Amino acid sequence: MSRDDAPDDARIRVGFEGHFEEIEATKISKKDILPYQPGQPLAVVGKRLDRADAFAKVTGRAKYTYDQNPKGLLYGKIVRCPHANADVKSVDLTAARALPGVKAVVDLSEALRHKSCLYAWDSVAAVAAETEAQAAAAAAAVKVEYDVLPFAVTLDDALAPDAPAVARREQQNVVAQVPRRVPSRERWEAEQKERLAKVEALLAQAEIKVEGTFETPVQIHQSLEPHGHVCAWDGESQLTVHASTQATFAVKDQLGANRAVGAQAVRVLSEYVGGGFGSKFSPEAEGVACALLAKAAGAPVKLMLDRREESTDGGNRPDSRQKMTMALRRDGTIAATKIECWGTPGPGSGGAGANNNIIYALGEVSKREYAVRTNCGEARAMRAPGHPQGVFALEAMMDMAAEALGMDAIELRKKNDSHPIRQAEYEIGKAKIGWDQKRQKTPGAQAGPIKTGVGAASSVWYAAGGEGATVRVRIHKNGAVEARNGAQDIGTGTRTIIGMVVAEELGLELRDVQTFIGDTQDPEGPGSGGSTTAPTVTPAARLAAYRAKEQLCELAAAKLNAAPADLDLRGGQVVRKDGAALPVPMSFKEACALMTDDSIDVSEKRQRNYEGYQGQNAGVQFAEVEVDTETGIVRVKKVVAVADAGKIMNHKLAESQVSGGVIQGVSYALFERRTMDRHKGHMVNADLEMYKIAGPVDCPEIDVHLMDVYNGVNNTNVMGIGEPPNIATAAAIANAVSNAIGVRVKALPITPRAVLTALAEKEATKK
Amino acid sequence: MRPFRMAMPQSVEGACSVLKGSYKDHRVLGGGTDILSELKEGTQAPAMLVNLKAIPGLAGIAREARGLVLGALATLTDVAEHAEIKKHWPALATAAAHAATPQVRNAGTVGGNLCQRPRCWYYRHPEYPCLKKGGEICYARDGENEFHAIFDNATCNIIHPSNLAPALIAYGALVEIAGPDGKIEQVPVERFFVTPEQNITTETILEPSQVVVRVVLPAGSENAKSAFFEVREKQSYDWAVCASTVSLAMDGDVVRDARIVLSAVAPTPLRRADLEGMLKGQRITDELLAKLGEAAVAKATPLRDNKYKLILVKATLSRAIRQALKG
Repeated sequence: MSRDDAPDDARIRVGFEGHFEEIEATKISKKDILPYQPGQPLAVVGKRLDRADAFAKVTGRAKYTYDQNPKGLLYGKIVRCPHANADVKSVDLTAARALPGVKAVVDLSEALRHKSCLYAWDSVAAVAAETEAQAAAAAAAVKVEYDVLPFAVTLDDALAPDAPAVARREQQNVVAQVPRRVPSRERWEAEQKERLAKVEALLAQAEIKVEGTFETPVQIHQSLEPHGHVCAWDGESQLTVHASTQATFAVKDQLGANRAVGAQAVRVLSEYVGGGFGSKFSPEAEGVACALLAKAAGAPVKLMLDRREESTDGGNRPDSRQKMTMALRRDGTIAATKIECWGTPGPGSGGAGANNNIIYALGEVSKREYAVRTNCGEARAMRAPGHPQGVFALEAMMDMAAEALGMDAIELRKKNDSHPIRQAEYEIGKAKIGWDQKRQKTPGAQAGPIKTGVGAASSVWYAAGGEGATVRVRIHKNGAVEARNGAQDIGTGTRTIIGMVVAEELGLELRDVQTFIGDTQDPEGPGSGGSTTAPTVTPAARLAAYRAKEQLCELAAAKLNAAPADLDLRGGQVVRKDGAALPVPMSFKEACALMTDDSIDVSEKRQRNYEGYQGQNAGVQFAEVEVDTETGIVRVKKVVAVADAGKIMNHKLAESQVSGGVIQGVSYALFERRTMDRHKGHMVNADLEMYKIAGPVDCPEIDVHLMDVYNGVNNTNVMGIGEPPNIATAAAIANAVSNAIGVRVKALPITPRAVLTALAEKEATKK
Repeated sequence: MRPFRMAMPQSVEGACSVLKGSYKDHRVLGGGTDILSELKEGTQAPAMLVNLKAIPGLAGIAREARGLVLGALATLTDVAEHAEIKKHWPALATAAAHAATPQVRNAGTVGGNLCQRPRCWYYRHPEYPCLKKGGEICYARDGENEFHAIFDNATCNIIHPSNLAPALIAYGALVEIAGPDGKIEQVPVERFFVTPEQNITTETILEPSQVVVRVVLPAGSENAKSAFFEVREKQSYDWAVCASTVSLAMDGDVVRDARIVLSAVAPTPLRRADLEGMLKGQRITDELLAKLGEAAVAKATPLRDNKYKLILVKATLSRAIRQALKG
């Protein structure tokens, strides 16, 4: 039903199974339509459907950026700084220019506006040649003179009293984080002092006190498809870019705004993307270099990063050191929490925080946070930035508190958690993992070297989406339907669910709708960040399809002598809303044939969010592990992931998203870490062999339970689910390991070395 | 990657003569799973690869009077799935089955597994001119060394990465090496490897003009009780951080003879005659295994980040022995 057809006091039903309620539909735009309602029969949305491009992907027909091979293509290569901290004194391109096959050589310092290389493998210059080998040879022939400076590549190195300066212009290594838009820094600092004093006082008189310092490593996104572009110019002003990106429009805007690139019009295409995880929101140095090379050479250039470049200069999740102290009352409520944390964002000064004061009512909280610069590749957003690291520490604290209280770990969480969905999720997860049977009452006491245990952790996310998308729906005279939006699909299924929503509205099947995405010549779409693509795009798609349907029903109504408002589209037919038969049956195609224009062509904007049920995704995960206390090997046997994301558009795709999040979480828990060398400051494991990522045998049984929530914040009820399922996994595994062996490993990853060292330390304190 | 030429000799003699020829930097290509990654990283840049794949008779596994003969081009999958090897040389089958990934095992060969280069991340990184690459220092010694050697590491701290070698040594296998003069030399696998002190630029006794053609598991070696037990971080595609391989000849419940090989802990697979001596004539008890474990690490020289390997030597050794007795 359209909002403008609805009475002003329209009410909508929101909530989830067993917890439905009716609320007044406030803040709904007059232009929007009301959301799907519980119990409303839907033919396509909510079904388990294969992704629309599954066949193209598995047969190799899907063309990724790397697969673009326009005629006359040249290969680009970036010249990279071999020093962890250096100033560029001079760049000599002559020798490189003279090499066979070389078509362009460019100095990047002007376009990137820097003369300093603040980490090893930073970009300095770029070359393009007829073959990859010629490009590599030319890159090696670029002569760069450096002033080499001392460096710091780890948190401790950069924190040391005599640490070298990581950055320039007297920028300090340690940067205290202050919230944006603080009117007065002095006043804010004074408030923090006051708050800290209050918290210290509560800690001093705590009935129960727990404390710990937790550490997480730098994690690399390691998308299967590395960053890269294929750039081609039409004359001096028009630039066409194929990009492996999660933000087609940001690539367009940023390349368009770069003066050195100097394009008047930029078109960005990204039909298929081999993963992003937060690392691909910008053209970055390699995109700028590719555009400059193509311009200088007067020919298309492909520049993809290799795995070493991807690992060192493709972004990462910052590390963390989190010092937490918690005061609890004997009833299990939390009186106060004191937090200090540090993280390394690379040479930058922010974005390395850990979200450890979330989910639970933590009483009076004092939190101070510091970004610590290092001479390492820059951190970028990564799948729920700040959350996996923060939740690892927070949930360890919750388990330690439960132990100190002699209370069940889930009971303690429920007591301090006000989210209605998570309250339900705890019970579902407990039953599915067999919490009461498998949770060790005396951790570490099992006979024999193999110990088992279970653990849990929660998450929160904010994937309601918002304005910032327009979808165009065209119904052609021959009955063909197309849906267009310029945003990309980073593997989440955006292409599929746009088609599903449109098919649902038009009474068709998914295969009847051709969805075109990943082209900035189509209407605007969001960057795929914050898990907001689905909730941002699908309401616009539904609205556009609804308006197109109105036009088609008008044509049909004239022919059928009916009122347009009485008609609807279902099962490929024009039908009466009241269920009565039409005088003559009319198919969708027959209705389309009534058009006098070429097509019905509707573009609709995503309207603002309503004041609905919940703006947050909840989520709880449970892990079951087996730990060999002689070898230190941790096997994750099972993960139960109870997840929610508003109304689930497609259970198959959503389960796949959750499984992917869990696998990446298992990998973060047990294996992944960037290792920086202390001699020369390079990442020594910049490959997929020694940068260890969970493989098939390492993956647990994953039991995904999706809650279907009628969220009432937009017309499809949908929220995103890309990030939430990655948040709690590592924390749940760490808690399960602790439950198994009776010793807490306070740093990720939980390797054999970490387990054996923790057990040996416990043994030593016993003696 | 630097452009290179490739020779496809039709015979072993042909291969050796190409290798002896005028190309001063040539490398042998078997399955290619190691050399290709070195070419891509630039740690090796040969002008020519000598591809052995066209030489008849180097693939496959055959029973002969002298024992079981593994062709140099037999793949790790051939070894892992060979019924006789699984039954009589289980440590070898397990070691082959645990290596790398199905794709690598399908391509990687027995000869290549013995001749593969170290995985040390300094050796593999183009920006680190380590001792093996003609440089002045071992970066691992006081650098990032959680995966490095805890024995025989005074010079270079690599660990030998071969999974097959320790099992072959435990069974007393022989490696057959062909040279340009047409002669075939037979050497115990145990003596195939050299320490960094003996030759820092290579890990084996192979001369540049020689190739491995076969490995022979001698008749009689199938009667031992044997096992391979490794610890690695990942269970999919990872390198061992420590492994023990044992082969025991038993008289009832008394050990008559023993071979013990530790691997992933030193620049070569380490046969430990001292530990073997402690078992001979003994019954296996928890006390004996505990003593054995202590003796195994008594002379270890761990680095800052790899002390945990001391615990793993003990654990893998005792697990391998227990498993061998059960098997």
